[in-house]
Amino acid sequence: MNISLSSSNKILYANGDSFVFGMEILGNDDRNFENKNKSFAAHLANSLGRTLINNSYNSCTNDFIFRKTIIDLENFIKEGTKPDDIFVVIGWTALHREEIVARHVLDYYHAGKAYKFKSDSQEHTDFGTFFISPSHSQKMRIVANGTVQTIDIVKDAAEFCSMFFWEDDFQQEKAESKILALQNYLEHKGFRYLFVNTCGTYKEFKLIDHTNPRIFSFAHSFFEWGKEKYPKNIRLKNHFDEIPHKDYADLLLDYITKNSL
Amino acid sequence: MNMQKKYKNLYANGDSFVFGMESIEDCSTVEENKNYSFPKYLSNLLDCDSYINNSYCGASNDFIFRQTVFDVVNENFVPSETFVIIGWTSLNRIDVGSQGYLDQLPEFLISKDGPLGQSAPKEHKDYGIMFVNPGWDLSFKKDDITINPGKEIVDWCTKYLWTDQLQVPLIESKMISLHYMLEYLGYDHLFVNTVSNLPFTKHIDINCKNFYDLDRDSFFQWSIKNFSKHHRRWNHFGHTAHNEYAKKLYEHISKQFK
Repeated sequence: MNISLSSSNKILYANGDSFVFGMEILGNDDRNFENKNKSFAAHLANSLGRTLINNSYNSCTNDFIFRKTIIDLENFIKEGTKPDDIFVVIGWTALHREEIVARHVLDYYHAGKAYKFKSDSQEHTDFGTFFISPSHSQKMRIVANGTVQTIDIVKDAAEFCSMFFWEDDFQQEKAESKILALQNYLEHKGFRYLFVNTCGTYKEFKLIDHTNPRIFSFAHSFFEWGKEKYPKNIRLKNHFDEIPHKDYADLLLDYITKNSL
Repeated sequence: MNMQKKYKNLYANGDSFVFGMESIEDCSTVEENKNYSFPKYLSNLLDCDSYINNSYCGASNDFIFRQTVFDVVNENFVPSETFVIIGWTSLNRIDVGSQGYLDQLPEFLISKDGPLGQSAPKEHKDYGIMFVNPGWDLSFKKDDITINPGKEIVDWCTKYLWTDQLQVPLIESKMISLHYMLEYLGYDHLFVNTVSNLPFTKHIDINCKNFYDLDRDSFFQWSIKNFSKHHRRWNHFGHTAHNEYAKKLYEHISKQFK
């Protein structure tokens, strides 16, 4: 869900994957938007006295995070918000993900215009795309004449991605270029920002200065941190309840304060 | 026309049009073509001492983006002395890892002189990747056996990736961020479209001095109109078109970058 800016309040703009979204905070497999209000981004916004705009999507890709953030921030500037009033928190995600359209499925079943599609994926509702990953199914319900058929569009696509895309060095290089470019964009425009790693297994960066204080602990992701410290707070789909989110926000707040970010 | 600013280096990145493919002759992909491409002629007009053209034939926009990001950070260019020219290519391209498919092929099909052997494209040798576009062909043949992984890859991309709804926001975000990154680092730069004009540029300020005719004719479209006699067999152009295009860019730079 996109939330447009309507006031001149100080903003905390968050983008990222399901960990930034706060998926499953409210319960196992829960993807309700209400989760966003309990995510670490929400707790951090609250501590910093900022209004939260959380435009994260469950299962999204690093490419999506990159493009959505750039376009959102450009829109904020066009609407008159000063970059100085926005603190940007980006949760970079796993390397092995892809965004696809699957239009052939829709075209095929739409042949007779008698079918309706239902998907639980917010990205499909908002952009007509699907996020896929090696471990994530992507179910679509096709409803026609009172019958419901469920298809998983991921399988074929994921097999292909495994063969051609999801290779560590290749993906790390692609991600690194986006991180570096977004970092330069934010600094040039005068945004304050913090990059965290939610669940990626990144190798040492080739060109990004990992000692830059605005890059928070990339070697140890939020997921790894949470899994070690809060093993009892892990939900069905590998996310956390609210306690790790709150404590992670405190950790980030302490870090932001100490480093005068 | 007098240029008020002197650049020591011209750095170029992009696809086959930036490479200058076929500028020497039909079907030519040798590196020497880079010396007859529009970036080279522009480098001459700008009186640069050094000319760096890191373009690849068939390159995707993602490849162009990331190599440029890495080059401007990694190379020892002095930004204030370097002019950067980027030729963005068509939206429907991608780069894929080549090793994944090689691992699936039976060994007898992979010969030293095959498509991924000695005659392999430069991107495979340099980065272990393959550039894919809708007209791409990659076939392995031995006796009466042919396996065409190219078709499988193109079919997949057509089904899952190559739509404007997905590709336009991606290219827009890359253009915007690279533009500001170069500006932040202190590089004068110019973006051109090589293949087609960019659709739906609502997020891009097309009047920005760094974006050359992004909503109008690309290099290809302009050349087809003005230099149809120099149109080569594989859809590129002879050096005359490149030289004249460089003059247009130089005129723009002379007015806008002082």
